[in-house]
Amino acid sequence: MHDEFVGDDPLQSVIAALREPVAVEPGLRQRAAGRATRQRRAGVARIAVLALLVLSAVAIVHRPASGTSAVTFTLRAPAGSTVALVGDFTDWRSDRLHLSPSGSGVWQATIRLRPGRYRFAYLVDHRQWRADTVAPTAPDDFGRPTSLLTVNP
Amino acid sequence: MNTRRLVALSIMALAAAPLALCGQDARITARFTPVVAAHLNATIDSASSEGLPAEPLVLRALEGQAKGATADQIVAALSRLRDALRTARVALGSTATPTDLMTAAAALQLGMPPSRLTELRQLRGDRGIGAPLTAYLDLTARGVSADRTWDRISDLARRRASDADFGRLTPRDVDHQRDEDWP
Amino acid sequence: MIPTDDQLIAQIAAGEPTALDQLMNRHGPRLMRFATHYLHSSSDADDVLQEVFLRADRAIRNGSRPDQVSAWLFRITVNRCRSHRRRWWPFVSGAAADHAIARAATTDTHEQFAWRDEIDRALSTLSAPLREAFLLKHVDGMAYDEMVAVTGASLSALKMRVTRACDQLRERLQEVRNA
Repeated sequence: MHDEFVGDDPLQSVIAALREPVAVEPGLRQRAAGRATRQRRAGVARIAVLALLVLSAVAIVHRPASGTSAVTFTLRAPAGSTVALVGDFTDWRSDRLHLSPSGSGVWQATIRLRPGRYRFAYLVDHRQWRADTVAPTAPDDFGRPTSLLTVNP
Repeated sequence: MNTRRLVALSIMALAAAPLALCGQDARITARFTPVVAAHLNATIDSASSEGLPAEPLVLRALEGQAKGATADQIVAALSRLRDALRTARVALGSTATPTDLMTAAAALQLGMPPSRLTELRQLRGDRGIGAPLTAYLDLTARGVSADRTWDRISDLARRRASDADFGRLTPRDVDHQRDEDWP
Repeated sequence: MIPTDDQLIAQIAAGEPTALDQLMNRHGPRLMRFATHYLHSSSDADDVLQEVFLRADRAIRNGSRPDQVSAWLFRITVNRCRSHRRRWWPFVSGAAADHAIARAATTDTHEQFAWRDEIDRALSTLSAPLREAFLLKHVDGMAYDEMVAVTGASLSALKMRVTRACDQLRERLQEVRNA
């Protein structure tokens, strides 16, 4: 079925590994039934808790009167030793903004941005480009992941 | 970059030198070889002379350099972006702001037909196209169908929705019909 | 005699308690594999599958009679995975992150786990739409017309996403190997 893969394309072995069965934990039906009961009981309280947790990896955390907004960027990169934030707001220089480790492989930085639309990406260990996991993906001319951020006025 | 291409670029750069000298961007000059920088600056400057915004072109060139793209790839990307900016101005008219042109060019590069830009401008009138186009770009970039997103955006525009209404749109709003069909 | 999917749907609608178990046993593994790779977490995937079967159960009892049961369940799964990711991903520093870190910690001693971790990391660098299209096409082996029905995306968009996903994965794997 993978006619498009030729020679020793590494994707063939990736696909073979990913196609290995993944077990369903026994008792799914019982867990689902318990979940239905909990959902009925929790009702509005559950919705309120979820609302508190609906944030994105790029979160606008503060909007003062000065016209700029504080934006927090978060990336999970457990194996990385440096994470640079690179984008329109750094003139695509990788030496201006770095995320700091905040535990459990999570990296963060908060910067102030004026309203506008920005393209950006993370550069892990100076070589691996990564898109944001939640922000929209930008169309890319150069074959590297890119994300979009809109800061509203 | 191959030799033939380099020679061609050098000739073009020399021809464009008077223009480029007028509108050199220091960031471009600092990050590229003189030949490539002259060519890129010429492209950017000619776009500026047409009344198109220069900043998105400069940033796209810098992005390509940061990502290790070849000069050919960067030149091609700038040409595509400049063409999209031109098309956006034709679709939106000569009074379009630089921000509107940049947003509209991004939508065109995602495959939006220019006729939809014109329709959106007519639907929105004085209220501007920034908010609906930004919502369109965000939703389609999140994987929501372009046609479905356009239907929702144009419907809101027809009903004279506010900028805030567009800002509140989520993929779930656009996928509402789908969620009804599929639990 | 093994009941068909349509017969199981009819039995669920009639309140037969074991029919949903049989439907889960039949389709659960495929859905679990997709959800696990899409969300990078078996515990999140388990969470999604509970929701999928709850919703399917309710829909059948409310009169839904899907023509293609497998595609129908897949579409619910894809929708639930998308919602789950939007809702929880920024906060996976809990269970899902621990899971990933525990898996990474085994890489020094087990070559097989190291390879799986490489794959996982490469997969996690893809944007959600690309990852979704790649998994449906190449891991689950769906035809493009099925993918259109499951995802709601256009044929051309799906083809583009699969191609870009393959290109990006090759590049990531090469980067890891060269490191």
